[in-house]
Amino acid sequence: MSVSDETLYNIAKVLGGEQGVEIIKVLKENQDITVENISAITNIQINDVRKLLYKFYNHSLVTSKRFRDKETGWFIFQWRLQPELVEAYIQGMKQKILKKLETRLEHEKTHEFYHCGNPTCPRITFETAMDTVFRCPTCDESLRRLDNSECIEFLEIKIKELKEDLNT
Amino acid sequence: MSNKNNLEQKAQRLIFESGDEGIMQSELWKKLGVSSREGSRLALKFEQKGTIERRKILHNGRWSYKLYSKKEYVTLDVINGCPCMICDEIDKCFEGGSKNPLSCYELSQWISPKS
Repeated sequence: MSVSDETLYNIAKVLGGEQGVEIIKVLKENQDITVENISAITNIQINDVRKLLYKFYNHSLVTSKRFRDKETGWFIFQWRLQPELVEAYIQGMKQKILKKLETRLEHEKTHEFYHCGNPTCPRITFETAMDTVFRCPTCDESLRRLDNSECIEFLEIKIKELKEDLNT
Repeated sequence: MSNKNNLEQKAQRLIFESGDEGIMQSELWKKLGVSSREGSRLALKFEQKGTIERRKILHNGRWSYKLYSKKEYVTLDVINGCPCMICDEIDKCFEGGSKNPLSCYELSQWISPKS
């Protein structure tokens, strides 16, 4: 796997907090383990373990196989890490974020923005500000031109870094 | 996946996992259970693809090759702190969508200058 343990645990933390990290650590050491066993090792409630496993499953970080218990007739699920898909998950996430940042950059570059100064009110484009006669549609304060050059600079740097990262 | 692809993946992984130390070409073939001829062909193929580097070294009085992976660890560094990473609606987020990268509050906070 070309993903370090540190990165793997970072993803687990982003998706599931400290409990997520604990679960991924257990899965890294044990293949095909049941929710009950993970819960016993980590002391995390079974329901919470299950909830986090489904979250990891939705991002393809873990997989499961199920079989029927001969005595009870219930399904038993065994979980394992999919290390080979972690890299694909990270790269896919970067691609999605890159697309969003490019969309946002284009918007920032092609619009003028106005703001009332109230942190809870949204920014207004020039077109909307014209309609409201340069008054904030939320709090009715007067609008002032907002300099978004730092946002544009931040986006340009991030996009460049992401493209370089994805090309290596 | 074919056996050939499996073998290539396994070889690449072993070279990658050897890290900065690298791995002797002969050691790799032993681990893979293939002949030195087959192994050398694989190493040359990887080198031509640019995924590994072969360095000629003197080992136990004989010239041999040590293999080093050129692949780097994938990290989250470049997207560290980006709110999209934990957003459940990332796949529904587009211009005109239920979530929109042009007006997303969390994204705006992230790209805004930090005071």
